[in-house]
Amino acid sequence: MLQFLLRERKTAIDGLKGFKKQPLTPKLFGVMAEYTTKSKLAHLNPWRKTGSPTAGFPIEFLLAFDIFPIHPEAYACYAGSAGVTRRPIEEAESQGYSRDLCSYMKTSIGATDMGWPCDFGGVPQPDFYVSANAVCDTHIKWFENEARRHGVPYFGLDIPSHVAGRGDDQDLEREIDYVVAQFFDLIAFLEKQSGKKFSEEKFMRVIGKSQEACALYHEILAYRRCLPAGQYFEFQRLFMLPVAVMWNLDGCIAYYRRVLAELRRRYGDTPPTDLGSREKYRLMWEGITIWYKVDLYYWLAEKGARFVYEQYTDSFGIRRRRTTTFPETLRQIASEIITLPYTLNLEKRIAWMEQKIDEYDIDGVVLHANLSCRPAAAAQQDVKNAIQKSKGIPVLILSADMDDPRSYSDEQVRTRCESFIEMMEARKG
Amino acid sequence: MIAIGLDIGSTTTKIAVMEERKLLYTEIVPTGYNVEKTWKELFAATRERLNLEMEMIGGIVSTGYGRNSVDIATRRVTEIMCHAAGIRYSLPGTRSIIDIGGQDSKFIQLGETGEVTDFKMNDKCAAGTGRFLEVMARALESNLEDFGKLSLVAEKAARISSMCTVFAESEVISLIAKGEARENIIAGIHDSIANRMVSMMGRSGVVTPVAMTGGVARNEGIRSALEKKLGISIEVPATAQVNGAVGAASLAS
Repeated sequence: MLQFLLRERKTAIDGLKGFKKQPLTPKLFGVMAEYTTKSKLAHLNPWRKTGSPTAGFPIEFLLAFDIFPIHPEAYACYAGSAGVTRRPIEEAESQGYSRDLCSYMKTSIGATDMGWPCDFGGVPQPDFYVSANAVCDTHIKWFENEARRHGVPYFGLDIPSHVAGRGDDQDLEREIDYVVAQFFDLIAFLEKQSGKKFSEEKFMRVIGKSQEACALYHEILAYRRCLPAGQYFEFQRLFMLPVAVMWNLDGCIAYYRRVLAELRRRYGDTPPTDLGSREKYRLMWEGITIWYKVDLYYWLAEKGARFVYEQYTDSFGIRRRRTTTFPETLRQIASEIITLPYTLNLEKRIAWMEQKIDEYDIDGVVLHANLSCRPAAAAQQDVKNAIQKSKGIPVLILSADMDDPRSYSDEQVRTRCESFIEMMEARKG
Repeated sequence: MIAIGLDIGSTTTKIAVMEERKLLYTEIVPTGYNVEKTWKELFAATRERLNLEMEMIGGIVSTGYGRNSVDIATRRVTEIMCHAAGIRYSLPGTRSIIDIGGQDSKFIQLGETGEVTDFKMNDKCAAGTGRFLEVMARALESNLEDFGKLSLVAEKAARISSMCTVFAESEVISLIAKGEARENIIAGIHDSIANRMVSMMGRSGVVTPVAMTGGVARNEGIRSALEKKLGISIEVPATAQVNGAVGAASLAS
């Protein structure tokens, strides 16, 4: 870090200014700092193994072996928040990675190769990589490639491409069998990497904590139905870090318990509550956030438009259902990975969004057409048409990129957002 | 009272003056690099020409990408709303607007009472905009005024497949080298813009009557290409190029 500060003084200063712009409470700042510090320490500790999983990977298997999770995507989000991703991305592109590829991946590769610390996107070298094609197809080849580049082992979980919502549970049961069988291969892989024997008992303790953390996280999210919601996207996208990364489940549970207690004190035990100061425009966001543009959310807030629900933040912390036995838990995890909200078929996905629009009293929807993640932007026009028709609220498709500022044009975005607000205003009369 | 609309676009700045919702005056000047200087000079020249004292002006609405630079505006409104208001003024009953400006192309859908129900804009790319046409006109050593007429006498439209302005210019140069008639190349360029526009519009459906606004609306070749592809007729109001400013003035009224 010191070397980086001396070598990249301007980047470091720009990055610190970027972090400072985030709506961090002292506690949340501490949570973020704790993760990067522990990432660096775990990497330096010769007795502690580190493994690098992708988002959506069942991290609990790693935790059951005391393996510290090194998350390249989380560090890429840090770099995005710091507003310093352009150079790492260009560094990766100079190595031949296409402009069309994922900007998390390129931020991670570029920042690591330039020797940047994890606060700025670099990845402390893990002992191995694991990934799954659960939420993203790039995850498999990205991590396979990283393992090859760094000469460490790799394990890939193949998640069937399930279309949820059709009601054909027989297919799902077969798919669960397929994934559970791979869990045993994963356990064998982790035993080899860690030199430890797998303990079902320890795994169940980890899962119990994970389920508690996820349940707390979603209880907190539900309070955003209150009027006003109190917690908005620019905060929520950072607030989800502990449950998304799970490097410290006990700390995560303690933190979320405190936040929930505060919400209960303010709103009572059961959301939603109307405190008589509803936001002027309550918005829904669909897709990954634009990490480097917290200013966009602040600018919208000045106009009274606040994001109170995001499918993106709701999709984390999926381990909500309590399980008691090991076989049941494995099947439940497999089911949760296979049937994420993103896997819903179009009809069910629209119905699901319509339900959230009602629950969170939404005035308008923004769909992020993310240039880094074209599959996630598929069918957005159909979603837009359907919601505009059924709910009569404006839906805006916003073209940008989650981590690549070169794909973002302030003036274009503001013109579209202002028109979108004008439509909501006209609708309200 | 007098109402003024200022539309500061990427290529041109437009002013429209209304009195009791009646259009009195419009003017267009190049925007240039100094947006603030341009609108201030245009505003001053308009006041002088119409003998307008400031106290006679009841409202000023600014629009276009330079709208926030107009510190005397009583309201700043986006191009989407102003184009809709402009069409409500000049062609009431219109349900869809195609607006091709200097760097933006837009498709605006209106409800039965002329309110905006949806809009689409080009993303991250100048293909299908006035800027695209300017680049092509330069490559063909022609001017935009002749472009529309020349394309109407083309025997067949040449094929321009690239959507990228820079690559399309290379294609045009390559077609010139192959001896392709200039009229055919221009017709191909118009087809390329129309294809881009139609694909953008198709995503949300076209409801008639359809009107076209913006500087490119003056180009008969593009309008004709769009009409053929959509199988409908497209109205072009006399105030097409200043439609945003007219809409702004009507919102200021």
